[in-house]
Amino acid sequence: MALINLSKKEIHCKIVYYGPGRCGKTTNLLYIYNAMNHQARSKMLTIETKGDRTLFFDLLPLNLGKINGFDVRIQLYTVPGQAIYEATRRLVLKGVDGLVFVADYLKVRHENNMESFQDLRRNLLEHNLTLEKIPIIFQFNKCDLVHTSIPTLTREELEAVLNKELNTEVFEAAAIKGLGVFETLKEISKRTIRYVAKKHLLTSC
Amino acid sequence: MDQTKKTTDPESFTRNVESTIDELFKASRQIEIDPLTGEVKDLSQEETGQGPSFQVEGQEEKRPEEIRLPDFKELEAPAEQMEIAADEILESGFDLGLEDEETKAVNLEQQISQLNQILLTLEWELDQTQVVSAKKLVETIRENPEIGADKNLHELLCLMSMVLEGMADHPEKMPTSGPVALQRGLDVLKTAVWSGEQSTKAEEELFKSAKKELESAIGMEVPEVASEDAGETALKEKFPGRQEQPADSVLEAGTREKVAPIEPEYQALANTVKSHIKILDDCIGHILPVERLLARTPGMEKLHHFQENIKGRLEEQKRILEKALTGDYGPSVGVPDYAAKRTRDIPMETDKKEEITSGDISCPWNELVVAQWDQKQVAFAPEDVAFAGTAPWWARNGLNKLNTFKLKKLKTWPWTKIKSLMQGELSNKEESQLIKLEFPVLQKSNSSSGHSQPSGNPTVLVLSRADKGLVLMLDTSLENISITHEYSWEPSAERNGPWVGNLEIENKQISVATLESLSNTLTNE
Repeated sequence: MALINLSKKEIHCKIVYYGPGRCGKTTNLLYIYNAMNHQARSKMLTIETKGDRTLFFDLLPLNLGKINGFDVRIQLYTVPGQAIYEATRRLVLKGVDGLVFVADYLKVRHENNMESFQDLRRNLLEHNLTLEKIPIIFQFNKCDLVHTSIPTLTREELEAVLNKELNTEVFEAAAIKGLGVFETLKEISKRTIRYVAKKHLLTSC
Repeated sequence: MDQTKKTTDPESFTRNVESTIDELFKASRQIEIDPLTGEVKDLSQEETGQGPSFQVEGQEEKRPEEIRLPDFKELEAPAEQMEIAADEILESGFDLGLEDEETKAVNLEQQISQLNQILLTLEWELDQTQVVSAKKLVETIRENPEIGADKNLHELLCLMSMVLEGMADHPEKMPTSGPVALQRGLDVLKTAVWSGEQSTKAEEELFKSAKKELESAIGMEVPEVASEDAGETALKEKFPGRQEQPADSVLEAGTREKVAPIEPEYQALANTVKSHIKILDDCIGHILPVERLLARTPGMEKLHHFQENIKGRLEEQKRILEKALTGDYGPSVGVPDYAAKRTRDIPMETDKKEEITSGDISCPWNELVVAQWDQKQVAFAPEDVAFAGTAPWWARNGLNKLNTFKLKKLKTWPWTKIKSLMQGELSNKEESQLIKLEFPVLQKSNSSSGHSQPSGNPTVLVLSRADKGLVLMLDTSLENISITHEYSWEPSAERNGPWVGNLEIENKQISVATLESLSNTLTNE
């Protein structure tokens, strides 16, 4: 849930990048961290890495500065994608305000995409949330592999299994090259802020 | 401009935020990340011809702050090498996750890794499920022949198990050093497992310090026996020189001799009393689920009262024995005469109907899931829900006409695993069992099926418990509700009807059903 402190004039929102293992969640944050203006982002924290795998989570706070007198921050989190780290994912999802589901274009990862999506639904229910209630967009990552010899899915196939009911925005991306990374970030940030403003600022007026 | 007025206008605020987002959230330089090594390549420098073509950013720049456990990096070296090898294979398109490997070393490594993860979550919050999972993992690791053969490792794991047991039984008494001590124990275990050599002197020292930390975490969770000053004084008077005992809940037979030495006479008496307390605890634990079930089953009020009384008696005896351990040997004040009470308060005349007003009985559930079905608001117990969601079109089509429904129809793709879609008891079944399951479909009443408007979001609901199941097509998706005091509950007078009772709030009525009550309507048809 967004942290809104009207006396201190602070608004902090939480966006979680979710998806199966090795789909590019951490790469998204790494790209944002390294490519973005230093003034807008704080230090990126990576808790407990095992080599290059995220074992706990990554956190990248982004500072939008003072807007209408409010100090607005957006905190980007990733979760470990491997199946055995479900408890961590559930913990990191607590208080989420916006979601980016990162799916993998690789054909061999298709089942992982679907399992991760179902896992997301289940974990949200644990926090009395549903995908229909909070802002969510999709990022189909590794689109740079589509026209190579590596077997990949098509956008339509991924949309059919993941986005059929939600019908939300989809961004194709190649996170290692930065393609689609900032577009995804901008869209989810805007949606999250709109959601938070509507939900919390309206009721506190 | 008046800042106060600005801040109360969400539209203006949102617009300003969005324009700031457009301004700030963009790349200020061109970079590329190496997918294998994670190194950051600055393309803007490359284009201007400055610097080498592959300029590697410093470690601080790429990942400026990594929070690690002490000595974690060195301990993880062997696993890291295995991961990188697997990663390279993965990048070429073959799916060869570490989880698929079958070697014992990899299994042990996975178990340790999983335990590490659970202990990290326990540092954030003490969750009963996590504590139980951690304890099971510790015991599994302890059963590993390689670990069992090492006396130090075995002892370390026993102590960790004791701390976790204390966490499960008395989380409120767990000192903050408990999770830290567990993490220390795990680090020492990792060092010992991956060094693969005979313990060095340094490792022996590590063992000793980890054991000391674990023992102090156990020692600090001593229950009423030592936490109450009066009891402690009484014990010291009776048994001078006695040292503090750990709680009964953290004692294990194999490690009792590791606890501080105690007077033998007191030891024998205390052990006997504690074993009786444990048995009483187990009995109470067995009665609790039965009592809860009876509380929410209409017509079982007398049996519920009977169970409650038995539970009360057992708890009273447990209290008496616990008091005896503190040196107070008198019976509890006001212990009721249960024999007399039994005949007076619990008449076993089951044919006599008692009038129970709706205000007297509270709803047996604290939380329910609600949806629209058959032209009414209906609620189900969350623990009965095995699946709730939008199923593929071939599953939804014709559901209103089918008598039975095969769970495998929930698959969206031929390779979809139904197990991952299931909740509750069914999520523990194997895939091969799930694809064979077929449950009856509960149809809507004839009057409503003709008039009901197709919803934009029909939800297939699968209820299941103890090999029984039922499928319904709900008109809306499920929502969770918490049953607060604002709800009034009225159990259903009809024993074989579909509803166990009705909830009412603000003139809205919600009919509550369980799997059994709905199944009754099928058998009665």
